[in-house]
Amino acid sequence: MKKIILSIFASIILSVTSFSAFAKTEVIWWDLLGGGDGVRMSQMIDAFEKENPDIDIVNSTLEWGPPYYAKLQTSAAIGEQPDIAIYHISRYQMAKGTNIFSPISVDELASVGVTADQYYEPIWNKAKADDDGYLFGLPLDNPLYVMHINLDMFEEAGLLDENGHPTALNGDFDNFMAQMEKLKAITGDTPPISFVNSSQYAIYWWMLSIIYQIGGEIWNPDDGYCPGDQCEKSMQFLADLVDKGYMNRNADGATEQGNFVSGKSAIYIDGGWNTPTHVDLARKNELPFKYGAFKIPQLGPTMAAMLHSHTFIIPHSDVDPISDEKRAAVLRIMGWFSKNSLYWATAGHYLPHRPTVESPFFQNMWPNSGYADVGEVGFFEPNHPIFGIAGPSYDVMGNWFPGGVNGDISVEEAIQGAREEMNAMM
Amino acid sequence: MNRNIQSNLTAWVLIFPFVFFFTVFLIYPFAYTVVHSFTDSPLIGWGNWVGLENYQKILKDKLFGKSIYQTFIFVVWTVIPNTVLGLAIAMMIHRIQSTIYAAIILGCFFIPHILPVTVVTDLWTSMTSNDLGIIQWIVKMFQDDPIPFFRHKVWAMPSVALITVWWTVGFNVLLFLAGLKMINPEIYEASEIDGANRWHKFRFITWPLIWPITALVLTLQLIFQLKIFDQMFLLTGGGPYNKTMVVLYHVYKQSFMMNKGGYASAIALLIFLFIIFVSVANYYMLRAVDLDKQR
Repeated sequence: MKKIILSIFASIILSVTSFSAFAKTEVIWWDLLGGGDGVRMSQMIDAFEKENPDIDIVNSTLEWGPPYYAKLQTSAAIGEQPDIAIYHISRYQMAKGTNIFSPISVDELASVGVTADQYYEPIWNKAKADDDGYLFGLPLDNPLYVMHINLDMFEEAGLLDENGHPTALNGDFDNFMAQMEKLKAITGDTPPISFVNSSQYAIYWWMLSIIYQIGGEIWNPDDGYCPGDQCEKSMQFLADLVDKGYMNRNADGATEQGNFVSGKSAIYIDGGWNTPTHVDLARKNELPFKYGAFKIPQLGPTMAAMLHSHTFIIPHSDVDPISDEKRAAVLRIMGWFSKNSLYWATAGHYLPHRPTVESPFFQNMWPNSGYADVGEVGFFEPNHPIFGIAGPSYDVMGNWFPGGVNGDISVEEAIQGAREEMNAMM
Repeated sequence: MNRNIQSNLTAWVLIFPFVFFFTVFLIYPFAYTVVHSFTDSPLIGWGNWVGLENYQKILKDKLFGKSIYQTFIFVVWTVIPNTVLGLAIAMMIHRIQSTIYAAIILGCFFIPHILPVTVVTDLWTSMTSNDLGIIQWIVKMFQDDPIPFFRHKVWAMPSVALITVWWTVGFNVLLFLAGLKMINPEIYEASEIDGANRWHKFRFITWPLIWPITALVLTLQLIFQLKIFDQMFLLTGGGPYNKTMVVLYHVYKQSFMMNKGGYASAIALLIFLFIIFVSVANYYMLRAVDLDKQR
């Protein structure tokens, strides 16, 4: 009898231990990657789960922009927040007062093989929560605006250098206009540039880079928003492109990308996250031209390109903070994605992880190699709570910028309107 | 006595679900908003007590003033056209002899009303899109460039108003139609014997008898349109140049974008009181007109 009881007891112990050995830690994941990059992300999550069978990622992709961030904040308020979430680095200063971040220590990151020296300094500093060794989140990538081009048209117009790069567009506004005239002779009725100038996002992402290229800035503590006249000059340049027929007026996204992929326009200035769409079309022989992607043109004395960054954060909740077990799993996820970010580069983004960027594979990756050195000239928005993607500054720009570029109001009115509204909010 | 207690108990049991939900979903949030309006709280959580500071800030907030003005403009663009059009369509349907045709036409006007606002705005965004929009096809008959209706300094507000009227007029048609059906046909027959023409019949029979419905429609419309938010959020984002910045969008912006829950609560509370005042004043004004008519 004693033996029977002992054997039953032993079998229970065994089954419990074997159950716990196969128990998975469930990690709730939220992101806002609804484009071509979202498909890549799902593939990476699958790959992670394959290598880490003890972690089960339950991922959800939510609507991009203000709804995503509002939902993240409200979910944390009731303890229903995800365990890991993608968060734009540009919103850190805006959101730090909301208590949404559970800062990550460098020691925690080091435990999963992530260290500061693996990252480019500006982005690591941008992610810092304080100087005591805590980060708000871990940068995953650097989305940026690039110039997608129809190489056949550029070759026909004689605008490629010996490396096959469109450097002839660099210089100043006048030179750029002159080259557009050559391209317009080829594109005919369709403007040579596809650009979604009905969107403040598109306008701002290109315009801000131009402002920095011509020696301006978007804000400083003494002079406020759009100091100097570089904002006016750069918006006037975009308005001139519309007036001269180098760009459609009030152009929307579907039409502009449609014009580019069908071979009607020569240039498509938009996010690098469109690269996978174009690459996939090219691989299926559905692009009627030779495709390339490059940095946006340099239109002033210095090169500059605005960068953003998707980062991983651990959302904080006073009601139901993340457990130690889940936090450990989330850190492992961060470590894995950091080391394996090369595949993520195929989503068209630049990367902050230095070993990956410096690897020969990344440097020669087509077509990303056209902007593989952008890290040296990339910059972020200023550290002020008013800035940050999908935040109040974008709302103000949505109010004024498209009208200024498309001739509904004058450029001066548009910049002055935005300047007054932004300075009032600051 | 026992019977009284039992009857009271039954009444309490019957009204309990309503009182419970009313308290949890209206009284509590309302009280919460009132308290928040005196604090500097963010969107979530409590802040510090700041007394009347938020209300003083509202007085200096230029965008608040502008948003009040824009809301009134929107009310003007929608309430009266919606009521007049609703009455006109109801009278047209009322004249149709065939019940089936009348039902089909009523259905045509009512269907938009049952669509969710997102479907309505998507529909109109497609119809006004630069390349494929059927409305731009008409625009291109008169000019080369398409009109960005929701981003245009002149067209934005009227466009949203037009869509709102299209979307909501069916409900008013239904109310007016119910009112018209309640008018005894014999009154019209008697007036015809006395030589009344169509205008006389409308002016001296239909209009006075349908006035209570008109007052109801005007009051309901006023309340609905003062609360305008969805269409602005989905179509214009308050732009361009704040020309469609209505007061609830301003509240949304302050709370969800600027993270100023306390300040947004103060604005919301003022608007709440204002809507109650305007609605009651409107109703009594219209009732006074009605009483005048009866004298």
